[in-house]
Amino acid sequence: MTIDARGFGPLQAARRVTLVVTQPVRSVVQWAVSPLSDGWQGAVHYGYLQEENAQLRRRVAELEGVVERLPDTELELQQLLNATELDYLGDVPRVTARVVADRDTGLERIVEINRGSDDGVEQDMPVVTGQGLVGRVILTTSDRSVIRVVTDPRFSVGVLSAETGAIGVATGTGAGSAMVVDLDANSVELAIDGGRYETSGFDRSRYPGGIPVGTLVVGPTGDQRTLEPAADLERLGYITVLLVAEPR
Amino acid sequence: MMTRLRTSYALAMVTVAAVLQAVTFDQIRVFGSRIDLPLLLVVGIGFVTRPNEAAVLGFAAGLLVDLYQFGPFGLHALVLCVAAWALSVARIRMLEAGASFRSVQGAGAVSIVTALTWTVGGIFGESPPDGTEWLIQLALASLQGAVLVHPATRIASLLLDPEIGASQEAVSS
Repeated sequence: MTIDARGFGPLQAARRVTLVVTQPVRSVVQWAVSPLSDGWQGAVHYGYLQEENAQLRRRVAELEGVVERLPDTELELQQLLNATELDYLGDVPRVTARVVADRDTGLERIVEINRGSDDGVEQDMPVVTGQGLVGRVILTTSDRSVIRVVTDPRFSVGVLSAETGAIGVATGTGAGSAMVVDLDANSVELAIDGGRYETSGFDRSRYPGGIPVGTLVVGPTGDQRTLEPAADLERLGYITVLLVAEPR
Repeated sequence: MMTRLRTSYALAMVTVAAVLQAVTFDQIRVFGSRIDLPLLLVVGIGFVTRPNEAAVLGFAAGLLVDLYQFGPFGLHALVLCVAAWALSVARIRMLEAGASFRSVQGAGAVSIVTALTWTVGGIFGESPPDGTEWLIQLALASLQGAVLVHPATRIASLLLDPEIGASQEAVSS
């Protein structure tokens, strides 16, 4: 019989110890194989990279123009990025992290970042990009954290349409798939194809309100409702962890 | 029976495989598929050791895989334990089939174990591929098995049981 022990304390501790103990080995191996991995990724995503490079060059040119006008470049550029990229967030404490591993095990996707408990990151904290909700933290060590993305079947979030007031719960259905939305009975008539949904932020919610979650897609029969995630989950480079504790 | 030294070799081997998998192979995907080193190794172990030993090593490899993943704990331990035991039980018949069928055996073993993992994972709330994606991923798993099970079996036989490895080579030739 399979032991279903998600969130079980000793198991979490064992997983944490495994990550910590093998961290030096993993770092060395990662360093050693990164040229191979990067080369492979480059070969596979060559077309995408060309397009991305062109977009980045345009963006750099735009930002260079802005930066030249800023007296204190680093500080104000950070403020500019915070203002432009995460404008849906209010005065929420946050820490930006780099994705150091993005694993697909065939059954689940595991994203690892280079910030941990030393940076104030705790289990269950929400993770976002400028586009919207990415997932939540499921495990932390002193300098690393593991993220569960919104498309994971074990991920659920209360959502709200700011346009129509429709409320419901969005649940992941697997990597690369849209989230399924279970709307409140009174909200079904308010469901509009293309409507944007955000975290509801209702009482005892894990997530602050107003974080974009996705765009509603209503199936041909009208009873299938899915959310296309707002955040680009395919290529996560940097993400932001919101340092908000889960309500108890 | 395996000596304590060989048990240490075997555990070291599955540990290295699990770490390499987490650090490297989980991050390199071809058409959404990736090389599954612990699975290949367990299939190789199943082909060269006795059923009880294969089951223990399959279980150990599965536990290590489970520690590096965040799904239901024990899922891989269960599947790899059963798979290694079953392959070990069937290995003599497989060996009699000769080397020309080795790729077919590898393809069959890896695709069956992969499908079993997805099925059990699906039962426990995971999200295995479905529809066309299921077929594509299974075909890629078969291809992986056809090409890589033979070297994995060689490595396992050299480390674990040179006598069985030698007899296997003799039967194959």
